Amino acid sequence: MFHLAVTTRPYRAAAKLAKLCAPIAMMLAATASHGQETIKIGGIFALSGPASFLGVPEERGFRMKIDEINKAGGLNGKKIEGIVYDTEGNTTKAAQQFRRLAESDNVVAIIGPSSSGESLTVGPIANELKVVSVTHAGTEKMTVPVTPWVFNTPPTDRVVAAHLLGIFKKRGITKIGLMSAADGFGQSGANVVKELAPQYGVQVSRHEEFNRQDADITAQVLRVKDSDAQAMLVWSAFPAPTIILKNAAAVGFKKPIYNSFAAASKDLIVQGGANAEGTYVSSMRLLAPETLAADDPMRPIVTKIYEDYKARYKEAPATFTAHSYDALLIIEAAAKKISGPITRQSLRDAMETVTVVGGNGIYRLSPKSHGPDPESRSMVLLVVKGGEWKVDE
Amino acid sequence: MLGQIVVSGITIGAIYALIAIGFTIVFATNRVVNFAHGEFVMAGGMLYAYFTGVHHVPIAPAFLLAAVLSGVIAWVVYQVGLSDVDRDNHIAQVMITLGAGIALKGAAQVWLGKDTLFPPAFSGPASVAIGPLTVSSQALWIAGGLLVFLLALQVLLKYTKLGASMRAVSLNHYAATLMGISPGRAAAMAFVMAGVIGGAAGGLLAPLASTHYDNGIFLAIKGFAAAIVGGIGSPLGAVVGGLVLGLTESLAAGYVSSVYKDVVSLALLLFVLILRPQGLLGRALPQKL
Repeated sequence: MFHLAVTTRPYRAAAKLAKLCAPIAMMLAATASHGQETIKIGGIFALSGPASFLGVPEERGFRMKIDEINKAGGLNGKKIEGIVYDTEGNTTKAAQQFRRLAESDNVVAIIGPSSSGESLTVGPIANELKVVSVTHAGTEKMTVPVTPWVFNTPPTDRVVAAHLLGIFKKRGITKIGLMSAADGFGQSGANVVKELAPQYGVQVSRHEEFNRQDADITAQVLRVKDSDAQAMLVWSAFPAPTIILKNAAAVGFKKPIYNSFAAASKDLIVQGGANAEGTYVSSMRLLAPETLAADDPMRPIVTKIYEDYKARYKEAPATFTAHSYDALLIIEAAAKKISGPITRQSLRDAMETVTVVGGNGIYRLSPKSHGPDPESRSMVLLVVKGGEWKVDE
Repeated sequence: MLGQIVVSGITIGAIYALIAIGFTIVFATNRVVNFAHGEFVMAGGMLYAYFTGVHHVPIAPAFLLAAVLSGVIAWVVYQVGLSDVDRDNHIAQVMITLGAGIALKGAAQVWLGKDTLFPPAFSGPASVAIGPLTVSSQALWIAGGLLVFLLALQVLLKYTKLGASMRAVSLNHYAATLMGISPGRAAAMAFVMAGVIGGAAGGLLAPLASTHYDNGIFLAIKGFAAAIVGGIGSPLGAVVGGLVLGLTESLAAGYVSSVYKDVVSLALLLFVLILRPQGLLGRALPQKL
């Protein structure tokens, strides 16, 4: 893909440049017309910047799955051409690149962006341009209410909260101390937990807040320790979950500590060391595939993603890899249902009819549901045992 | 519970105090609020984590190296950015320190990585019991570090020629120049000291609270607030301000409401500024007629 933005002032330089580039442009045009038989799918991920911990594994999952589909003969006989741009986690860039993919690159579907903020921005654009969009947002606002062109693969905080509250109910924990970060992620999670708790017979008997970067959270830990809460639930991104573990160990906090999916990472064990032992987290399955139950319906696909990723990138995948991988799984399943040409419209219509078992759970897509729901079994409870994440359900 | 909350308040307050000292000595000699100061603290923590984690340098040399390198970074920031700028051009100075801070943050992200790191604590047992209280051993190192730096600073400012020249520059920079003192040299030394003490604070804090290329500004805000509460320009005031701020935060989180702990501590800042604009231990500047 080659775009020349010719402005008026450096006219001569631009003309010279155009002359120099003419042969290249012709070559590109030639390859483009040659590859007319491909289906173009765009990806916008935060490959650099603060959200790159999400974007990098997502982009890898995207490439991995496209190569796999192409090796197997493509979508209905047509190879996929993946076009990826780096949003840097920047909302404006995400919106520009989304338009560029839809309008000049002419893709049928766009996967990403990586963060909730970016996704909320591109959602309306997808509906305006009528292009299939599979975002990777943690907020349920993407698919509640459902809009025609927007799908979302990650489980939302509502799914995670329901999972954890279900665990509390099963284990007879009726009173919890909720600890949430004083940021968008923590507040949104805390609100959902408080809203859903009564349905599970759970009472939030203490709610404490902290800043994600606070150096010390002892006072809040002590408040939960001295309350009648039977367990602590932490809803925050790093580093706070690790600091809470350290502070809790220092003041002799003996109640079980549960974490939201934001702490579902090898980092909690690496950073927390011995203090992490016995801590629970609600995680997507990709963190500990080898300890999944033998009859877990997601086990085969999760194991496959895990091993393919490890073989290709020489390291264990972050759970976010499944976001983009699942998006392509859904598109692949939808394509099988399309008899005519794959267009934006036919793809969208087919996507609303598929049920797909992916790394993030079971998607039962319909005109009423465009993402995982609480029955998707997206989450699994993990516990740290002997310095490793183990499934504990 | 009260004892434990006080312990954690003093620990975090000591860190704020160490950061505040850097703001204070740079302000005293330079009349500039150094917005890059938080990045010196970040650099100390990140470098300590880098030396111990990547190069497996033993703890003591890694910590000293991190603090000294932070001092070098501060010196470079002064020499490259500030030494030629007109002393009274405050806007330019502030913008330069802001820019230097962003550059340092970017450099740390590229060279030292984007991971949140917990480098090793300075000594063996994670915590020690003092009566009914458990105190993390790193907290004792932090408190000790604060005492050592405060004493060293007092000795340096009171009994050395360099200290005398720095005090002279802070009292009246023009008169000091007439007496043959180089204000540039005093200012450069203030930056180096701020860098070393800030870097040490970063290194001391990192094992307890992690270090990350992005946490400099967060620490700078707390340190700056502590410096203002204590009275900017006074090292002892910085220590008092830091401890007051740390204790207020901790007590507010424990007894009032963790949701409003920052509101309580920033309200305290406002209150102090209304009642004593020069800070708790600050000297009111004489008014010129």
